[in-house]
Amino acid sequence: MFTTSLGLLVSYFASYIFLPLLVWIFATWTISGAALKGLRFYFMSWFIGLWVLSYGLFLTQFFYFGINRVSFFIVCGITILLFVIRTYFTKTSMKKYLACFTIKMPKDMFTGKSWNYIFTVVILALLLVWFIITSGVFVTSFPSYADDSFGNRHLPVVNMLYDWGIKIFGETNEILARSRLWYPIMIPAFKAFVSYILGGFNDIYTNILQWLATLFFLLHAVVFAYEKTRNIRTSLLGACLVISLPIFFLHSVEGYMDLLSAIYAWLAVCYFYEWLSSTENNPSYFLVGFILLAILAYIKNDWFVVYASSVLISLALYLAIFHKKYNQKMKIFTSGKLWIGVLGIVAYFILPFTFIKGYYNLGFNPTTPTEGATGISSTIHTEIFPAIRSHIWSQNNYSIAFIVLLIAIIYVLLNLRKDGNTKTLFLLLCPIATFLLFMLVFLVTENYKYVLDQTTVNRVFTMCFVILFSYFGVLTHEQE
Amino acid sequence: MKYRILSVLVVAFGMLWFTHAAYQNQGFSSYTDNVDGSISFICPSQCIILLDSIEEIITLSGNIQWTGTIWYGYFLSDNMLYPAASTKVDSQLNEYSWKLVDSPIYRQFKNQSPKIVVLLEGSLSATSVSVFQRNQLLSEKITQFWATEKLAPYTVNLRYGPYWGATSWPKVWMFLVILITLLVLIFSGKKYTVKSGFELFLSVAVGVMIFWGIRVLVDNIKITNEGKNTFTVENSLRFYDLDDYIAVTKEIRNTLKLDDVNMRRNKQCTINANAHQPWPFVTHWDFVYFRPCTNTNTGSEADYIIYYKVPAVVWANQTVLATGNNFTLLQNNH
Repeated sequence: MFTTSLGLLVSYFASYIFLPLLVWIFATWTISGAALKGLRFYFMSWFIGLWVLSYGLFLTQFFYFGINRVSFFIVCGITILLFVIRTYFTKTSMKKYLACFTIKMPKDMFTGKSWNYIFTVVILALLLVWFIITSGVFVTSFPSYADDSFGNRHLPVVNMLYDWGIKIFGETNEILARSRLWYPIMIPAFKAFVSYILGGFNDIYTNILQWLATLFFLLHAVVFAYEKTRNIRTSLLGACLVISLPIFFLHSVEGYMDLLSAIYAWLAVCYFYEWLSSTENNPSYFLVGFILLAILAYIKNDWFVVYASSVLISLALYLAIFHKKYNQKMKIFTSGKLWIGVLGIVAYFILPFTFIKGYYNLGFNPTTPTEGATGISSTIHTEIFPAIRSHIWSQNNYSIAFIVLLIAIIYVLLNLRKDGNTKTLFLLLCPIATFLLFMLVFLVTENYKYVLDQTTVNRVFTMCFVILFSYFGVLTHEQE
Repeated sequence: MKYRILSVLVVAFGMLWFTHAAYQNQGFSSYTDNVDGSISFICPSQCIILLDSIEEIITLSGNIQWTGTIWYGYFLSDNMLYPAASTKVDSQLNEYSWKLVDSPIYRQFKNQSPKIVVLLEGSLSATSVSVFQRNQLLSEKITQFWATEKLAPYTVNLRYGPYWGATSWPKVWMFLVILITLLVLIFSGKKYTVKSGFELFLSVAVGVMIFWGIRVLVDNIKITNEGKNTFTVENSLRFYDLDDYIAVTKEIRNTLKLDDVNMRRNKQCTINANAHQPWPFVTHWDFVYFRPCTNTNTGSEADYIIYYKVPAVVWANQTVLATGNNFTLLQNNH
């Protein structure tokens, strides 16, 4: 459990990156066709591949397979089969798919720039490298430390490992007792598979998955912002603001799911934004955004449906306000291709787990340690406001993120009035809607207790900042 | 002359920063205010001293004898006493300080004008003890600002972030952001519109946030280094405040061959774990570190029994499988 060696370290890195390889590419191609290209395609596809594989491994358990190589090859086989079926019907040439791997490195990044600009870029890049190295050393050297890593994250992994999978063959409720399904165990299923092929659970290397997710997220954030602004300084700024959040470091090295949830929410926002920005009326970006939201709904606990709904509400609100501008774009909602895609996504990413929850009478998990189906309170908990004020002003957990957020909102609104750059309003709406919906959950449910305990609420709010700051450069610098 | 004035000021400043602080008392069988400001007392079981102000450091100076525990806590207007920290007196205690600013409770209660209570429990006596209260010196505040942040298993975060005395930094930074923005607006000589003014305001705030991020990254390096020094470099597997918990866990897992997945798969085993603190030690064992075995509260029914930092009890039907400085692993011979 605490064994360390260079060989094992490399094996963990290779497993976490390359095991989803088959799945990541074919799953993304199956869903979006050959529309996504370039460096960003790799990073985003890893996140989709990670979930498709994890979820696939989880689902095979219910067909009486264990956590072993057979399950893995079944998931890979089905993914490839789906891709072949799609290619057969769409008659797309493989050349088009292979073109997705092409990466064009920008050549004019520093041409004609002042020394001041280059100096800032170097400083920001050094900060990012500093963060990546320090968190990398931490995550490859130490075992888990924070409490939730154990009961909620690693416990299902070791149970699956020693039980040959999710124990569904015994008593009906054994699945609850052994695997804590109220915290979905798809990512633990993948970790259990990696532990299985590498000879046992390793508490020192298991959190490398979270670190890799952070790394790919930061790289995606920089590349995304650069594509939109063509300004490397602005692109790095967003990533640097994110790593400046005091909570971010430990979330990238511990086995928690908050950051991973925020990353999926953020990716969904990015791809809906991409759909709004694209000149061609291709549903691929919309479908990718929809998949990421479907993943998000079941990644941590049932209240994370708030994340998904907040992004959808923001998109609906945005399209309702600017419907004249997007008349042409909204025609895809009448397209049969889009709805086949949406149905496919619901059929794979939503329905099976919903059915499993229903079959085992798991219901909605309110996460609060109280009785009741949803944890709705009989009163409105306004006492959370003084607690939040105290967290913001008397503790350093958010740095001055709230202040920067407020100024940024005013600035973007001013820009909106002057430049008519309305797309950025969608980027602004999503984290704000997420924040407000979480506040609503805290106000009207027994979850208000988590606001009084700063260690929990800080995570929730910080993850809203992660979404906002990661595209900060796009928000403040992209022009219509 | 100016040097004399300066000397007087320095001495006066030095005198000013601490004051004798005892104010009200209760529960003593004997209590005397001495001429030099110190106090003498005999406390038979439980006694209270109420201090007259709330400052950042409390120091007990003098000789306190016999045995007991001395607490300090906060007494609020709701007549509730909130204990904050304690120290044990084993025969005698000469000097002890509490740094209130290191406690999150201090920040929580400071604005509610609490009284500070020193609570003595046990049988304690003193002939000349001074209770001082003072705020931190500038040098102490600087040291505090750069002190390594600590981790805690109950939070997935650095605990408090850096502080300047009891002041939280968001307020300081906000003041700085406004000040810098105003100075640039006034002295730059450029004409600003509402939009460009806000752009400046935003840029300063972002700059300050990233500067603050550098301080956070320094903390990250410090805690990573601290962990490296004890966990990997010395290969002692000592890990922050968990001490040798991981090293002991590793030895127990090796002894019981718990890492052998093929041997242990689908085999039941039970462990009765006893530790000086059930959480996080027994909890984390139960959740992960002793898997596939499960925890049982009944020692006689368990396959194995572990004592960690508590005295071990070995019965005739038990075999000692492994033992170390802080632990004993037993097997029940059913």
